[in-house]
Amino acid sequence: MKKILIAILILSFNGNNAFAFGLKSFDKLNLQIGTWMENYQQVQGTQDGDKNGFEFAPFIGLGLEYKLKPQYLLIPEAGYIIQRTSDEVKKNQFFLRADFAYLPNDWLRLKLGTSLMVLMISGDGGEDTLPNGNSTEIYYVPEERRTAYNQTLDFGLEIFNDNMSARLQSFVFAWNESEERLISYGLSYNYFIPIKDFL
Amino acid sequence: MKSLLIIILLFTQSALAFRLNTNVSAAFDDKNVKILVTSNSICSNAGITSTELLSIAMDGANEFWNKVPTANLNLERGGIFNTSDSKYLTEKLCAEDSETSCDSATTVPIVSEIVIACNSNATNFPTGDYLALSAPVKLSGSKIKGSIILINDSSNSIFSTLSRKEKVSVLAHEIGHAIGLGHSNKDEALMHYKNSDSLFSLSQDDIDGVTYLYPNKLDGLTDCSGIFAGTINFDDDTSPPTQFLFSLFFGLMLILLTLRITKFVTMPKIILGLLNRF
Repeated sequence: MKKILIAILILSFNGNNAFAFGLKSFDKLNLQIGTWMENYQQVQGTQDGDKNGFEFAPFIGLGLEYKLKPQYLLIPEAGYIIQRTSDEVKKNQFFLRADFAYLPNDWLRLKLGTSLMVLMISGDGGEDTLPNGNSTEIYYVPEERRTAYNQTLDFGLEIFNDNMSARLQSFVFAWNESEERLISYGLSYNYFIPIKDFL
Repeated sequence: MKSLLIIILLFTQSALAFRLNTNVSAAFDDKNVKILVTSNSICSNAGITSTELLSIAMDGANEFWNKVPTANLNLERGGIFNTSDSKYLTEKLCAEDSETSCDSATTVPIVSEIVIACNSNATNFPTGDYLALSAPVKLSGSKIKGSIILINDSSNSIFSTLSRKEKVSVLAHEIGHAIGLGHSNKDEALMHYKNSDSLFSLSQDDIDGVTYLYPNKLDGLTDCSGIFAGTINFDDDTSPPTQFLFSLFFGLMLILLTLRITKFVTMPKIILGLLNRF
């Protein structure tokens, strides 16, 4: 396994080929602000049987574009979905991801990638009295932080206008398990800053 | 731009409301949990056989709890639990975290896994409109070792009047208690205290609850299968996802190698070919 990796690294970093890594290939930094649509229209939204609707869950992100070729980019990104909270329970979500982007023209990007989703649910502890049958019962608020990790398969479509873009990205959880599969979406506004502005 | 960012950073959203069944956040320690029905559950008043009960319970497990990609829980069909112990049918349920001690001679026996039985005890079911009852009955620290689900089989039980879909959601709700969840104040949640015949899936609140109790973790990626398989697990919750990062990096290297080999000739054709199919 290690030998294969080393061989790939040597081939990929070979300075004589056109696709070698180089600092100059880092093209742009992108800043994202958007909304996260968790399992949109796929889970129970009301008691009457409606699916879940749109809920504004803002996220921010940062990406770095690495130009492989004029039409091909590799884009590692990191992001944070702003904490969602109710009573004593909090939900924080981070993602670390990478996209391979194809640019068929100067206003459109098609993206394929994968993300590591880190979901942290935590609580302050305590008790809550809720109805149970014809009486009430004490139930408990979570009192520790627990973290779930998932890897997603991502598809994205991005439309450009100068140094800005609008992006719709889908995040497929359990893409190889049809029974479990759920898709979340990210709709974002992106602002691009050329790396050379920093140098 | 700056003010927009500040507004978003200050924004918080009300989203969660799930509660837990025990004060130690107890959950089964094995992701594979079996569901069994006692062989002596005749359920004449509830109007259901033990085989039908198991079938409905498994529908509840499969249509609801086994569909959460962020949770590492798999409820399995355990079959019929052979027993002639009548205490399952007649005695009071005593939860493990009960404030009073339980007399084993007058309570439903302690079990492993999730065991379902029909029961007619008046303390469990003071009126006929109590449909079912469930609680962990065997804990070890914060680990659930066994839970009991009792179906109201008293003479005035209305369980038999429910549609199959309602029975599935009742059983799914009780399984939720059995795996460690309490009631939710979200009315769309399966774990809401009122039963509904319009439930088709878990709500986000239920998903968050089961994810909290059974968080999906990252697991051995020595064969880099995570990159291709979708979901990955670590045994140790506190471990950094180094194996994921390794596989992610390895995957990116593979992309670079592929691009180098194909010299970017075939890739656009593949992508455009896929687009043409749609």
